[in-house]
Amino acid sequence: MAKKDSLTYKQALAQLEELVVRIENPETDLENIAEEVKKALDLVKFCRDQIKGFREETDKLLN
Amino acid sequence: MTKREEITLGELQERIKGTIESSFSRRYWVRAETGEVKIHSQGHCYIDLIEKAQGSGGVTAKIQAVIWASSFRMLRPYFETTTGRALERGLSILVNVQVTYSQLYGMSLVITDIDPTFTIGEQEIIRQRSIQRLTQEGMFEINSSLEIPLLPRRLAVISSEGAAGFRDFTKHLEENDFGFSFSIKLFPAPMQGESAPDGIIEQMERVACEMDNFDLLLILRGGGAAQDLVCFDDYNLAINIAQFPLPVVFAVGHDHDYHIADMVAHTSLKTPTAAAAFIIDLFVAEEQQLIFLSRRVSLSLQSRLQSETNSLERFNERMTVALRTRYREVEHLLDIYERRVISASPFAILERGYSLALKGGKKIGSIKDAQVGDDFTLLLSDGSFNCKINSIRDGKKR
Repeated sequence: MAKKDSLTYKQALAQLEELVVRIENPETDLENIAEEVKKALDLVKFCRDQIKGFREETDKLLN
Repeated sequence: MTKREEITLGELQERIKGTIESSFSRRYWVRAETGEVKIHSQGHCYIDLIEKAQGSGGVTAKIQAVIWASSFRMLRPYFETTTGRALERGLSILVNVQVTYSQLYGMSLVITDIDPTFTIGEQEIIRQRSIQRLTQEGMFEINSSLEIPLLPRRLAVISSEGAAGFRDFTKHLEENDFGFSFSIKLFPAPMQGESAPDGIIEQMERVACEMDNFDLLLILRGGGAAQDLVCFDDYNLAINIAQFPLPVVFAVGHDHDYHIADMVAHTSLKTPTAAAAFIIDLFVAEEQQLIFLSRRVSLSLQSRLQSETNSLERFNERMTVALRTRYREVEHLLDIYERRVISASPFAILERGYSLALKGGKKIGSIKDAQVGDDFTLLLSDGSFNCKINSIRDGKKR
């Protein structure tokens, strides 16, 4: 997860997209699917937190 | 030797008086010019009547005349209201006289009547002739076409030194309520009588020599008898004023008369005080203009700032709306991804108690995917079993 600290929102979203496609693909190995699902959901949370941060920051600036 | 006839001075004068008064018993209408005019404290008016030679102007005839107080009380207002002038030196007059002789004062004329229309006529003829000539020469428009500087503060003044008019002017200017300061230089000149035009012209030439030091020329005189002002109808003075290189403000303290100098000057005012007020008004007007402009500047600045603020607020609003939309969109996208991940992942099924058989990482979806003796992984919600296939049963053949 240390890797995620330096991750930008855009990079996180790109990784998420990639994971969603992999998870949906029936050809994808199921051995590691649990980890991939966890990672995808982590990325969703990470992106939501990022957006929450952006929103708070812009709300503070605009008011 | 014949006996000398001796008589006393009184007897001689008695005879002169008799001879003169019997020879000149009737009254005469006499045309003359006034010399010195004195009004006695008892109300009698003493006038030197003179006649001048045409051209040279030398006096060729002169006699003392008197208007007794009883007549003067009536003649004076009659003359003054008709001519608009006081009975003073330098007038052409037509008077009805009686010749008298006094042992003490010699011969004199007693004026019993005066025809003011004659005086008006003489002066008016000269005046009209001057006006006509100046009109033909285009003199009336010249000085008034000069522009008065916005703030005329360097003033050349031609006036008589110590005259009330000049004092009034200086006082009024210096004590203005607004604190404007002026630089006033006096060029003294006689302001009445025959010598006035030449004296004024001489000083005008001096002012012209240093015209760069001045913004305006003022010719001032405070009040005085109307007759004193006849010099301001002088033709030479008029052309000098008209052609003067600086704007000329002319104020000689007259109430009803309008002189030729008034007509040729840039601006004509009634009194020196009015001239001072005129100059102060120029400054006040300029200051008001400045106040007005600065008010406009501050107003337009305010409205500019207001409109900038308004448009900033609009930008702010647009940004807020845009951001809100953006956030909603990306959140929606994340929701979709999340749902896709959850629905694609097999764990939801495992949670419900089902298990999943995997062989080499791939789902075993059919009996054809494995053989007896193959190892496979059975995935459950909380872990997995490593299994071996002991036998295969074909579900369709059951």
